[in-house]
Amino acid sequence: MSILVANLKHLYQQRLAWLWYLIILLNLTILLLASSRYTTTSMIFSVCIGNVCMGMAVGAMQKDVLTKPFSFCLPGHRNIPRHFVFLVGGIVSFVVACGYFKYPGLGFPHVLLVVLAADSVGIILYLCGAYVGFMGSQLRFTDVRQWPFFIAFVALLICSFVVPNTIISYPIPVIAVGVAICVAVWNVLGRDVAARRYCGRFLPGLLDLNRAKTMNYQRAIQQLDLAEGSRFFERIERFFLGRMKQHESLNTRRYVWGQLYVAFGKFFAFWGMKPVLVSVGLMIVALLALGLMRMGQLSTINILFIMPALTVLGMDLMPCRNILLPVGRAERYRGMLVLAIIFTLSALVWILAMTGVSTVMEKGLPEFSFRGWTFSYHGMDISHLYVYFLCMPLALSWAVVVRRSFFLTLMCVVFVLPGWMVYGVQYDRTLVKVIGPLGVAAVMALCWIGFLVVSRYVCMRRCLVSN
Amino acid sequence: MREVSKRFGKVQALDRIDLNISRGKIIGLLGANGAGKSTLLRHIIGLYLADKGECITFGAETERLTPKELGRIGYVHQEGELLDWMTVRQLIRYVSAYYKTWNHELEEQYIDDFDISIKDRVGSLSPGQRQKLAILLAIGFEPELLILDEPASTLDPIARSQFLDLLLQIIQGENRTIIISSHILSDVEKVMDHTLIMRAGRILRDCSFDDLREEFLKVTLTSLNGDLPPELLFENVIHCEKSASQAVLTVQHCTEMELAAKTRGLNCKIETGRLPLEEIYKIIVNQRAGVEK
Repeated sequence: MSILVANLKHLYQQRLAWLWYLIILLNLTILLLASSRYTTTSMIFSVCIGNVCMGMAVGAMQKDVLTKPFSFCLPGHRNIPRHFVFLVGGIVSFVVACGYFKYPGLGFPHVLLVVLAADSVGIILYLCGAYVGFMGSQLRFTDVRQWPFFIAFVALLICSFVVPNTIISYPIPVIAVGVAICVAVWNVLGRDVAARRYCGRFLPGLLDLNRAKTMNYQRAIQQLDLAEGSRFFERIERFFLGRMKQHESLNTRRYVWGQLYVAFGKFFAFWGMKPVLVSVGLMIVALLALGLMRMGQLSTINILFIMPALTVLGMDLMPCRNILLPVGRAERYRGMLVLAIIFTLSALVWILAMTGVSTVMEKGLPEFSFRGWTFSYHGMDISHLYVYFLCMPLALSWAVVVRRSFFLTLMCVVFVLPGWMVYGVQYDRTLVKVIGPLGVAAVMALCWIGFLVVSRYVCMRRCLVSN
Repeated sequence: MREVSKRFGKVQALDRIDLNISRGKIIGLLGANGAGKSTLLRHIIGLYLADKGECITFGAETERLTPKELGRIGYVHQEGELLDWMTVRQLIRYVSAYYKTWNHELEEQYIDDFDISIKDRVGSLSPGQRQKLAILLAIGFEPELLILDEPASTLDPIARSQFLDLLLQIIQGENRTIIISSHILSDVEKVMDHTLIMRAGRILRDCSFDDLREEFLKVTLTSLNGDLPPELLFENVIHCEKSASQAVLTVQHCTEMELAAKTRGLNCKIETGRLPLEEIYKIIVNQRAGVEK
């Protein structure tokens, strides 16, 4: 059995890879079903996303192989990742590109060039995904050197609607770009330096479930990142510790301020103001890009209503579990509620601000055309605010029960996003229209009561640290 | 603790535990991995709640422990998980902010003695350094009850020795109690005065360490003239290695007086000694395993 064939077994032996296949399949099915009802734009987008996801899974798989010391020593093994990545990518993107054989009005040999061009675009997206999967946690939004990649990647996805026209009009340049990128990635993946860099290191990625190992890795990363403290964080520390000390020792309020410090402080501990700047940058991009896209009858920008809930999924509402602080379960419960309320209100302010800005942009930005497509900017529709109030208690309950499980949170996100797509498509049958405003208010109240019950149960009855 | 039971899925982590912990002692909690030591300790401070039974700490049910009681307990967690994103200095400042009784002199002395680098990020510390920091956070406010779950497992020999000295120093305070669970029996042996031995969620022994040591004797019989008789008429022999002229026995519940009486007619030299804790532990655990089989 050749090494490549042996490696191909990873495609079915790697258990978590099956989850990825399921995710890709589920997303593609929902997206295709949803998109085909209204526009082809979203359909193209969903196919592109499918290629990216496949690339991510395969890239992560190969990184996993390279990190194993035995693979470094096996003869010829260091070159296998690129063979593997290109073999799978070549097949996947060619199969998808074959759809163009059915495109009306394309004669031979033009159709062949178009298929090859579509294959090129497909493999470029696939390689982008593979790069993300391969690099995994080494990708940093804060690393300026990596920005060209992120910008190109996002631009490619956002502009996916121009793909059909471009590959039909200019197949040869597209093929040329595809070949150039393939050659570059082939070289990057085949270099011995990659094998040396990865060998024996634990690099958590998309196929890792081991929490203990992930934590060890995070510690190692923190060692690199945190060489110097930031003055900004020192001010934050002084503020919170000052507030804590304003209250009596062993008082619940002191604990609540401490919890707020731990919950918010870590965002600033490593990079000072950088996370704020990056967040503002991402918000601007999201506001500009999402307002121009549509999802069924809804403007995609309305997805921002569920973004705070998705963010909350990964939070720990009861930090500091393993340090025995002088706080009982009742105090922990109160602290958790305060954190939840502060998260909810902060996110609400953010949503209202985004809605305000996007509404102003909707009025100010003119309609424009690009390569046959007409674009008009749509702001966030405040009538969907109830979705936020429905999602937040569910996300908070999830965060309380699941407690920062990366895997389960990923699963949740993966299923929530297609859910939102379906919501967009089925907009004429939204919850408000089905059960009426009073019904929605009742469901909302139930969700919040559910959160209170769940969080009380977890704080008062469950084990506070894992076994 | 009264009849405390705890189950995790199919595993019976604690099985009808009855336990009284009195003040002013260093209690050694011994047991193999999975014996239930950490689970027991976490019940004492209310991190875990019992499925059945009752657990009371400082007069309060552990599920209703208030800051008042918890402010008297220091705890070092087995995994040593801390807030990795803080620097050591920041973490000490943060934890000390909770306590009015934080002893800054002790903190400084400890940092010097244990060579802790306060500028480093907690996440970048070695396991031993993390453990030292966790110990500092647990003792900094001079708790009445100090619970140490495998505190010395990651410490180097010098740090372990310093740590044991520190425990002896802490226990000199009035009414202080220390519960220490450890696999390094030779270390615990040096400091503990009460022993708890656990196996499969049950307490096999709950007695003073002196009583436990007196329970077992290692006896060496060396014949002064000719061979030893083929049958040695001792009771409660746990282990026996015998050659023609010498026998090494481990006996239980037998005093040196009783031994002298039984060897009176043998014309041999008798040497007796106490067993090290490690051997006592093995005997007790194996006896229990034998009973269960």
